[in-house]
Amino acid sequence: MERQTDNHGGHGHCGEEHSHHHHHEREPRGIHISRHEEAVIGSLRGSLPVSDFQEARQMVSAQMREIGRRIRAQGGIIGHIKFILGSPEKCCQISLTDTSETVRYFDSDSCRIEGVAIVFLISEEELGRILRETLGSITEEDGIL
Amino acid sequence: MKRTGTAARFTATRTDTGGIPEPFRGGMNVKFLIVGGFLGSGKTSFILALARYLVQTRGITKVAILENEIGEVGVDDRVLRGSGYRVKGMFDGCVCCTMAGELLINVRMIQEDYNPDWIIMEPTGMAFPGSIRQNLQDTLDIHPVIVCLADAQRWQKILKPLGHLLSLQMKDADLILLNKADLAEPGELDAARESIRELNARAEILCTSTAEGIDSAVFDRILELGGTAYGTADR
Repeated sequence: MERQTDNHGGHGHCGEEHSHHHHHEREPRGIHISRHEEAVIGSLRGSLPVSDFQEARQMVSAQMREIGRRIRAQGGIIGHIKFILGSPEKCCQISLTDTSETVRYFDSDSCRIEGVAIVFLISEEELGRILRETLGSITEEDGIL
Repeated sequence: MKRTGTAARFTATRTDTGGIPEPFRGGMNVKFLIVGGFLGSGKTSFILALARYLVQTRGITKVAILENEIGEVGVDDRVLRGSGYRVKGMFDGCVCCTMAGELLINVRMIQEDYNPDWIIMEPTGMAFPGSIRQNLQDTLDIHPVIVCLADAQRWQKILKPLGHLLSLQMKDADLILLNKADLAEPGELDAARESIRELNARAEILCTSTAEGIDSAVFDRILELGGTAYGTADR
């Protein structure tokens, strides 16, 4: 069931009213779909279980090209699809149970990814599916939603 | 769920105005530039180039960048911060409508905490720069200059399905940059220029390519525009 949050009203500065900014139930894989005016916005956050940065970059690039291909194949228009990919150069766990913390360093085996796809003439459901089946298929969810 | 922007992180630094024309300054004594244009038109890349010009050529160090992104994840603000600039991010909404109030709060906060010489605002690729300017004029007595970017390569493809949006973006621009000119055929450039002229008969239209480097004359033109835009109360 969709949950729509009616956050905002229109504005009158230029005589043009904006439709509401709608949010949908969060999809799995850290994917969030919303709509603003004619645009459908898909945000994604997660981790790639790949330690090599260039390999991760190539995987993400390939999936982004596939997202673009599927958008175009369905008659949609790409506004902008952009993602940040970060490699973990340093990782540590910082733990505190009393007055001072302990730090444990370790090697990470994943890269961080987060970004957004802003498209037109594609439904929210379809964008969600496209993101799930592309970048969503190679990322792991954060667990914080 | 409404998401709020990140906390501002500004510290005072020495500044040299480098001879910037006074008329840019509004009631809050700050020069304000809105860099608008459709998604993917090159706004962030242009802002990076402009900020570099201000710092390296004009010696202006107190530049704050206001970044508004429509999605709940910030991407462009990370790029700008990673390039060493002070950035205030506002996500998950649009400052010309859903986040209009938050924009004013953030501008005031930046002014009070940092007192920059320049604020460069990058709204979302869905925003109407004219609405943002009106809001700033009416509430804070700030009179921004609007520069809008158009993607020369994609313009004709998106004009028909998204013409209404593009029209509302272009109509209030003081200067229009037909960007990614290096990727467009001459015929595409001419056609784009002609159709943009129909949307805005007043603004100068310049061809640019952030990939190949922007001529400093473009940045100088933006600085010159301050003398035209300031004090025009009918905007």
